Parts: sequence; structure tokens; C-alpha cells
Amino acid sequence: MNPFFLGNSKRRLFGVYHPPRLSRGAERAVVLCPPFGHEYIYSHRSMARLATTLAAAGFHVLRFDYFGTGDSGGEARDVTLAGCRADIDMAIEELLDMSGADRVSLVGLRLGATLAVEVAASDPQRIDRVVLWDPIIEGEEYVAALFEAAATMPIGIEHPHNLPRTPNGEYEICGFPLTDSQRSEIAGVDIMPHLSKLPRRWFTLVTKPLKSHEIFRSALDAEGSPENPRFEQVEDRAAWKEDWPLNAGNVPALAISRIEAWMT
Amino acid sequence: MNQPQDGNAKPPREQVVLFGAKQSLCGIVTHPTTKTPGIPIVVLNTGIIHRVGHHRMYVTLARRWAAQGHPVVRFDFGGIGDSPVQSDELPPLDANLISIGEVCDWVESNLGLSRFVLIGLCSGADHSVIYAARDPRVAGVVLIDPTIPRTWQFFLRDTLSRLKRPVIYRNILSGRGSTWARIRHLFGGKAPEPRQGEFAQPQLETPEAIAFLEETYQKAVTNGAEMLAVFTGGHSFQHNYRRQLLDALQKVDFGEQLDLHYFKDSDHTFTYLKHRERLFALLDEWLEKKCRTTGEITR
Repeated sequence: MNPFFLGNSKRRLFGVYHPPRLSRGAERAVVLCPPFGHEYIYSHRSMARLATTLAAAGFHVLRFDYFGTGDSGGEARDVTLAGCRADIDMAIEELLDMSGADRVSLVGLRLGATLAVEVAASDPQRIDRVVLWDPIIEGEEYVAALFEAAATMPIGIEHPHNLPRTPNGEYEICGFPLTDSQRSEIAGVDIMPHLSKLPRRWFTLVTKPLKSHEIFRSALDAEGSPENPRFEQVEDRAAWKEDWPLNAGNVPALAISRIEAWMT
Repeated sequence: MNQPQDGNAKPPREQVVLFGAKQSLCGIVTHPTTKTPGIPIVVLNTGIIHRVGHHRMYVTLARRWAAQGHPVVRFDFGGIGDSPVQSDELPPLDANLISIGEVCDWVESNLGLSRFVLIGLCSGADHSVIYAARDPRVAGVVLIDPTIPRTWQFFLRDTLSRLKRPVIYRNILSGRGSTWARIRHLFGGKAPEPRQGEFAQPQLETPEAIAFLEETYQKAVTNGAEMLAVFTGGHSFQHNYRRQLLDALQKVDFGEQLDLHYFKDSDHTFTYLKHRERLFALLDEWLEKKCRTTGEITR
């Protein structure tokens, strides 16, 4: 495992490269696209586990933090979806360079899955496979879920009557700011128009179904085959959600092993 | 103390370092933006959350302190975040204490600074004070919600607080709630025994636990560590008033080295910005009060 900074002084990203621990013949590489805000914090452990699992299976794996998140440069209020897509592009180029692979696969969790789809659809030639792990299908539904999480997360004290806003006018979502422009950018997300432009091999894994997943699933039924379904639900914990203190540190081992199996 | 940089200042330089004998403890060193370095600050994990901290709090703090002149190290203990387990034989606490020492050694040999401040929340606070009892290089510890024994005053306040909740009376009248469930369980009903508390709560009220903590805190104080202890209302199942630390560990002579605060309205991880800002302001004030430009903490 090799942690390092990539990018330039204006847009420095933190990444962790996991070299393959098994030879698979041709080089195969995977970039992991993390979720947003508090979901990034809770899912870090699971994304790290997924990375070591895939590296053990012979993949070059790169995890990274979007600009304004994790150990990367910038502030949380600087995060834009366009910027995140550019960061995924940067991570893809970095991993292609490091691994010697011709193409990379993308595994995205929650909003990371949506971003991965957008990036893959914009340039499918360099993408091998895409895994959508608990993807956000509709931005409006996700924004509503963020506000719901902010109002109900177990924090040991009473929540304020109204969701607080920072002096800059940002909403506070589980400890992270949500600016009006972030809110409107996220609300405009729609994964459906991108699906037809994806590379041939992609797959959706869901642990916590949303209303929009049903619509998504129906739309996919025509595409997948019983032997090679596009959509699968597993009974496992959500990697990105923590109901402290009941499931702190939970890692969804079944979901991770299913992703590994599909990738190999 | 060095003057903080203005809002347009260049961000501090951040460096990935793999600490420890195995060079596998993953950490980020945030270098000061001022010419004269202040005392280095080592930030410890909160529970199992990686070095970024809840709400990315430790990244914000590291950059803030670097702008004030402090080198800051954030790193992951073995088995947390991006650091692999360091020892199959040692218990996690022992392995983690060795890791803290290795990080401090790195700071001393690479930055040429031999006194440190440790900061931790929850288990990070516990690690901080236990390590400070063993290493006189620790000039100060910031303990946020450290785990301390409950006292008679804690139980009195806790009971009075519970009695103020209307749900207690609704449950008594309607036969619901954990007390009724426990009674039904005791009298042979099929109802399962209700959960004890919110989770596996530490039981530190035994003479052995109190003696261990008194010895630990006393050694840290005797070693010269200045202490800032901050307690929140978000852990009201463990502490619920400002002076509980003093009542719980009565044999410790803190002298003038303890600065004690209780933020009743704040949750355990400082989810709301206004609570984080208040904490950060307190930390700045404490560091400024305790530090000289040489980087030493005054006594």
C-alpha cells in the first residue's frame, strides 16, 4: 500500500495505491470513487477493505479523496460535482500510468457511483468495467435523504428545531456544509441518460434499496440476462451509513466479496 | 506565538509519512507556514474513524494550527484507516502506545523538536493521557471526552435528569419501557432482558480502575504535561458535569496544570459548526496561553 499526493499544487489529491498481490497476466486496474460528506467518513473502512480485497485478487487499485474531502487539499465548501469528475479523470490517468494497464475499471459508492457513471459514459474507451454500489439515481431523492440524515442522526443530544445554517448560509448536513450551489448541482443529478453510453460490462449492487432503485431496476430488466444481471440486491449493511453506536465500524463483507466475484 | 496567516495565505505544505519500525503507520504531516516552528501537535484517532476525523475536523485543525506555526501530525493506529495491524501479539492499547512513541521519535529526529502536545477525542483522549504518563517529552495533552468514572453526583444528576423526561411517566402508566421489560423478564416472562444502556459502556467505578486512572493522570501531571480537558453533553451516560474528573480521581494533585471545561449543549463529535468553532477557539486560546515562541509550554 502506497499513500501519496497526486495532482498539482492548486488541486492536490490524496490517494492510496494498492499494488496487485497476485499476477493476473494482463494488468487490470480499478479506481474506487468514494461517496460524499459524512458518508465518505463512514465508508472509508469498507472502501479500504474493498481495495485490499481487489489487490489480493490481482488488481492495481487506487483509492483517492476528491478535492475538498478527506486528506486532499481544499475545503468541503469547494466541492463541485464537475470538480469530482475531473478528480476521477486525474485518478484514472494516474493509475493507467502506474499500472501499465490499457483501461481501468471504476467502482463507485453512492454519489461516487453516479460520478463514475458520468465519467465512464463521457469516455467509455478507456473504461473496462463499472460497478455501481448503492448508486444515487436521482439527485432530488439524495438531497432529501441528506436532510433526513441531518435531522435524525443519533448524536446523543437533541437536534435543533431547524437545520442550522452556517454564517455563510450553508446547510449543515451531519457535520459537513452543503452550499446552495452544491445542493442545486446534486439535485440535478440523473443517472439514467448516461447508461446507454456505458461500456458493455457494468453491474449494480444494492444493500439498501431506494425508491428510485425500483424504477432503475425496471428499466434494466430489458437489458440484463438471467445469467448476467445488471442489478443485484444483497442482504448486508450499508457501508456508508452508521447508526452509532449500534453498527460502528461495520464492514459489509458480503457486498465486498460479491463485487470481487463480479470483477474477477 | 506566531501570527496566524490571513485568508489568502498559501495553504500549508502537507506530506505523507509512513511512521514506525515497519514504516506502515500512515500519517500526514502538516508543516507550519511560519518561520519559527511552535510546539508540534500529534492528533490521535477517535475510535475507529481514520485520521481525517469526524466532519473532517482534524484536517481543519491541522491547517489552522500550521498557519499559527505548529507542525501537526495526524496518523492512523494499526488496524484503523490506512495503517495495517502492527502486532499480532500485543493488545491494541500497547501497540498503539508504541506507535505514538514512534511518531514522537520521528518528529524529534526529523523536525528537531523534542516536546509535543497530544490531542485526542474519546479513545484518543484516553491514549493521550496514558502515553503522557510514560513519556516526559509530552508537554501537554488535550483530552476531549476522556473516559472517566461516574460519581455519586453523576448518578444524582442523571436520575434527576431522567425524572424530567415526560416519557418516563408515559412508560410507567402504559407498561412500556426498559424498567417494565426488566420486571417482566425477572418474573419469568418470555420477554428478553432489555439492553443495558446504549452499548458496551465502560465500567470504571471499581477501585482497580480508579486506582489505575489516578496513577495515570498523576504520572502525566508529574511528568509536566499541561492538561486541557473538555467534556460534552453528548456523552451524558458517562459524564454530566464539569468537575466530575476531579471528583472521580480525588487523589490526583493537578496543581495549576488542569484547565477544565464542560460544553453541555455539544454532542460528542461536535457535529454543529458553532460547537466546533467554540472548541477550536478554546484550543487556540489554550495553546497561545501555554506556548512560548520557542515551542515550549510554560509551567
